[in-house]
Amino acid sequence: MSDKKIKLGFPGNEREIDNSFPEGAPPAWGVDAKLDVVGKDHTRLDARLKVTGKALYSYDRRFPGMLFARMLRCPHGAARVGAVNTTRASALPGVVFVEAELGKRIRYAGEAVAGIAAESEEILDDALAMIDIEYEVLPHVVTVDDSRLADAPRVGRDPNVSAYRPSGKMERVEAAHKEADVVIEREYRTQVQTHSCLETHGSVSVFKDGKLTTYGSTQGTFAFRGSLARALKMAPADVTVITEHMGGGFGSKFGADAWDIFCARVARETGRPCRAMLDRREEHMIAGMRPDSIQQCKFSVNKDGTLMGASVESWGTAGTSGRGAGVYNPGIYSFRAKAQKSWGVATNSGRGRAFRAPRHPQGVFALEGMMDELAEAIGMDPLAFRKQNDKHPVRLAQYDVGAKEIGWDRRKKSGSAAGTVKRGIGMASARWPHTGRPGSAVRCRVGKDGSVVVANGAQDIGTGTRTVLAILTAEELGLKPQQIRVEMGNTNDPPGPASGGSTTTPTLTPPTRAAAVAAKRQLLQAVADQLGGDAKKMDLKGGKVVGAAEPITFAQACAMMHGDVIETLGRGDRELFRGRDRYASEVAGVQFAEVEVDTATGGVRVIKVVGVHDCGRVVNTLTTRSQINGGIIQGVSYALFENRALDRGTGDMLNADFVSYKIAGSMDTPEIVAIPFSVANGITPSGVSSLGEPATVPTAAAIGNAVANAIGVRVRSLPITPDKVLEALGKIR
Amino acid sequence: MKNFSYLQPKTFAEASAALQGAHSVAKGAGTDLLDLLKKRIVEPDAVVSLLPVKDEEKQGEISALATLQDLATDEWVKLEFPALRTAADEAATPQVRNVGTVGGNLGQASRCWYLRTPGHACIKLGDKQCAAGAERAENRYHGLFASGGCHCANPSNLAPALIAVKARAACVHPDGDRVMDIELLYDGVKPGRMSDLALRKGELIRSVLLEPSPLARNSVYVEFRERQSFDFAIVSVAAAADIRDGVVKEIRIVCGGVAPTPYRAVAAERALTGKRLDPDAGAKAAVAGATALSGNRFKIPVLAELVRRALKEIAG
Amino acid sequence: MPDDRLEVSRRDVLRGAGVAAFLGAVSPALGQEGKAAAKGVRTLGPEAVTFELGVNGKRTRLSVEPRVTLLDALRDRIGMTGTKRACDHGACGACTVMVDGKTVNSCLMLAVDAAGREVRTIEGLEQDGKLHPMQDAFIEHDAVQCGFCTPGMIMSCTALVESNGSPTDEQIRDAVRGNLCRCGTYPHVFEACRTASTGMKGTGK
Repeated sequence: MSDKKIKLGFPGNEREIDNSFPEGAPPAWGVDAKLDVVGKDHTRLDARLKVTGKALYSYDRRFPGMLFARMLRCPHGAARVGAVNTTRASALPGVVFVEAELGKRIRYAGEAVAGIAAESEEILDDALAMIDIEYEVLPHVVTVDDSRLADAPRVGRDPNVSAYRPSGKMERVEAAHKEADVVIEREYRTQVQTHSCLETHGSVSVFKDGKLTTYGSTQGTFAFRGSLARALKMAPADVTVITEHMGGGFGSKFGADAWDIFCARVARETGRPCRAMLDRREEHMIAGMRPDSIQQCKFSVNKDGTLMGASVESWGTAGTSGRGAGVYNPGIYSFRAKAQKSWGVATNSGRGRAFRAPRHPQGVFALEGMMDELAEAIGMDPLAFRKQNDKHPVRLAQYDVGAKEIGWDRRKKSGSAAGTVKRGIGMASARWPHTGRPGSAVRCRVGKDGSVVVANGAQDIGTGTRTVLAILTAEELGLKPQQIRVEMGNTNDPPGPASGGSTTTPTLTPPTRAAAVAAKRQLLQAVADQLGGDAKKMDLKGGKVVGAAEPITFAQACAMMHGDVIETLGRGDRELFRGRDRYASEVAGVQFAEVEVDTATGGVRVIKVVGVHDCGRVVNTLTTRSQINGGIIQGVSYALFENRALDRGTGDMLNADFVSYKIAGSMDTPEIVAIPFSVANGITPSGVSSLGEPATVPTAAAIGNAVANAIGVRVRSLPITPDKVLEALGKIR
Repeated sequence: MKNFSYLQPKTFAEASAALQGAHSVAKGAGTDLLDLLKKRIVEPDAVVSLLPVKDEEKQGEISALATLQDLATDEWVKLEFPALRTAADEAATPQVRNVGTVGGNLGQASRCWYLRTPGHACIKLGDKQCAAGAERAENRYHGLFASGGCHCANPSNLAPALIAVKARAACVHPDGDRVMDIELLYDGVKPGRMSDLALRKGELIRSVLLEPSPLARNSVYVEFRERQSFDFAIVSVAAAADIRDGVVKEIRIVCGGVAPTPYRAVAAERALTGKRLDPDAGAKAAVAGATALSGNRFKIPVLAELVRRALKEIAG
Repeated sequence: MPDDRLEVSRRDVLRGAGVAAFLGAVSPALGQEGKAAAKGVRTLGPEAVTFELGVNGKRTRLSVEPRVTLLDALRDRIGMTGTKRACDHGACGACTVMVDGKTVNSCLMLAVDAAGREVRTIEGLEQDGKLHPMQDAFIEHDAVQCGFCTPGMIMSCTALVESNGSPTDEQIRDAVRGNLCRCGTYPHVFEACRTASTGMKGTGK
């Protein structure tokens, strides 16, 4: 039943619009929606499998006669492959498949030169060591600074530096600067960050009767299927991708990669199942990274706090191609004039891939640092300065929530703390588009036995999507989430989105609800057929049918259905994603960080982070807090520790492990207060929106601002390592 | 890794004899060796495991096969050699501490990423240059006091602490056993020798000999890491002092992470002996002679600060 | 005299410019010199070695080359894939199991070193369909996201509370400092460990 009006917003900031969703759409949830299941803590449906070790990841799939495949990779930053001798390797008993790319032009250390498949990992390891390759080593360049030099070696066929993504008009910005009271020019830098998923990339492929089943570690089962089918020249219908569980992607795992395709080819040609998984070294070097950035920022402001002009010129590398290294800057705040110019800089290094909020953490680090510097220049409190220049009603409310939780009024004047170990507080904001999109479908099957099974072919990458689908279905059917079985990760099930852009939950919510609503209607009609009465006046709540001639349970209602099963397909139709009055077409978030800096050693510790995040309507408060925690911890790690170290002499990666490539561990984790901030946004009937990425966008920026507040000088380069702190403090002679 | 024959000697003498063969290496728990084997930096034909070796425990001795966790929880060590206890406790992770041996910790290979990433110039591996010394090298984690042209940083937690408390090592070799100051076991970098220990071929440390003393009882170990969870120290300092009536009778300051071997700040020790303990003076003297590389200049103030803090603690 | 206790032959290390040859022997046997030196010492391999060990209380027979790690033996030979391989070099803890009651990185332990010992893996915590209190706590507190680090995390936490029924927050953090999580479950892991410890008071091994 659709109501005629919907109340949007959040408590204290509400307004009403007409319900413009089509008749028959799932009921629209306004601010005052009374929901039984949605919006509460629920444990994950797949938690039991994971805590018992029974969850099967791609890495865990085993089959009789399975082969193991790996690639041999070039260690040089640039080279041409000369003679390749695979004789000894091929002759090794147990080696089943050897293939080399002769004459290949290598453009980054780690690029594949040969592929081998063998009957055991040990034989594979021996065989790889037996391949003799002659390389003609060529000049390489591995840093942006080096690549921009006039005499830098060419990385690819195009010039190393290529301009793209201009936006705004520099002339308008310059005009604003001329008028402004204060103009500040600064250079900010961020580093290359590798995804560091705990499960590396890879897959297991099995051919049977000409059809392929691949168990892939992927964030996009359908994308994986499509790329495999194309590469193998097979019909997509003959390829099934199964990803029941996967060990992290963060943007790096979508389509099938070269080793997946090689693995599938081995399986096809040998008739044996084959597994190809990267090792940790390969994972760091060739499976993706977040591009770095050099951002020349020129911002201006008036003494009364009005933001004037903002221009950003940025350079960054996404590896060998020149493209993909932009930054999201300037954004969020209301400048009179903005402009941006970006250059992609090619380097001989492993290529970039989308990494949790691509471009945002980089750009926001610079943006929020500049905002603090502007505030300082005009003697204004950074929080008040932001509030003055941010029109977003959600964020304005979030500022107050976050400021109270961190204790913003404890914040001292920058650098004024006494003692060697100084504390500071900083803040930063995030915005993210609502990325739910039409095109998905969800199947709901209610059995005569009272069972409920919901299915979608997309993947749960660890965000808790399965449980979201169960919660939404349970809400419609008056059940508990544990009573719903959810099947995900098999491309034979209805189509779903790739998990990129924080899109999975907002995309799957409308079709899930539609399927459940349709199933409910059919079930209630069956009850009406049996007991009499008007099905339209009945509902399912608390495990029972309400409004029927007799009080009956859900199970009793199911027993009344005509066939053995009610099966519905809920579609994510376009109309369900276009709330006519878009209260908020984006989600808002703010984070506050408190740090402690040892000014004698340069050591930084993050003490506490408060994250206040809107993701539209919060479906599962428990897993939402987990997402916010996760985004913040990745942000801490990005702010303080991570950095891909490539040797400028050889072009090889020096820290392709988890010892010297440092991701945050338990002792580095701050106290985190994760505050989901529910907003009824009217974009879809439920208003469920995006979370995964915005949760990591502002963290490093907030930490950078907190460090500056602590020590009174600013480190404008990530990661904020002890050497940079000591340098900023003038302690390195 | 390359496959190998696996030997299980019953005594240190048997193990040392077995190691006289070419292409053989000793293994304690293997927490460092397996990394090198997997990377094929070391490719022995035979691995001689010390795990089956049973040695009688003597008073005043800690078996080289004692684990870091054993050391971290030993009451006698905690009382008489507090620096050693702290060094063991701060090390690595519980999983490594549970099995990692004292001998293995002393003998572990440098963490230098040029050594551990095949294909880079390394004096210990027989090359003429040290890749870390280049102007454009990635050397933020390297040392301040080179040895034999090598710039790496000694990674052992225990070594600085043991040297600070004047520990000795009982070593076993077919040509004759001997007892040596642990300090003298580190004789600097030798071309083509990956190990930092001046041991004869197949020679094994069987135990560490400790003698309680006022110096050892007043010992401290401090460490500075980038990441708190699991990291090798950027700089570590073990300091021990025998102070009578406010005057330093004897003092030892041994630093890790700043040289290929544990670095005894002899100049600082001399400057402090016979006077009231002045942490600032000690810190200043400790960094005299430090030569930074292109990327690790920050280690100098860090070293100074850690020495200062360690000295402040033992000053009482 | 140069020490060659850890002897590395130049030819075995991949070099940069010019010809790069990476050679390695396949089935090494001890040379004459080696045989003489090793006379009398128990020698296993290099062919597969057969031995028994306890896995979750069950006597299990393994036949593997000396170079096979306990991790690979568990996952690929015995088929217990709950323990994960994530870095294979002892830095992330995803491979954590207990050997004789103590947590170890199974990727840094040779399988043959587990002979005659008792190995406990994640699969061994559940008893007769009933979850271990730590597993329940992990579910309750959502200390799981992608789940790949989870088995190792749980083993480390379980080892802690079995030896220390009321750990401090600092001790909990220290117990899992060798277990990396990229999804960021740490705060909920701490909570789960706290809950499980109060539930497990007095159940120390």
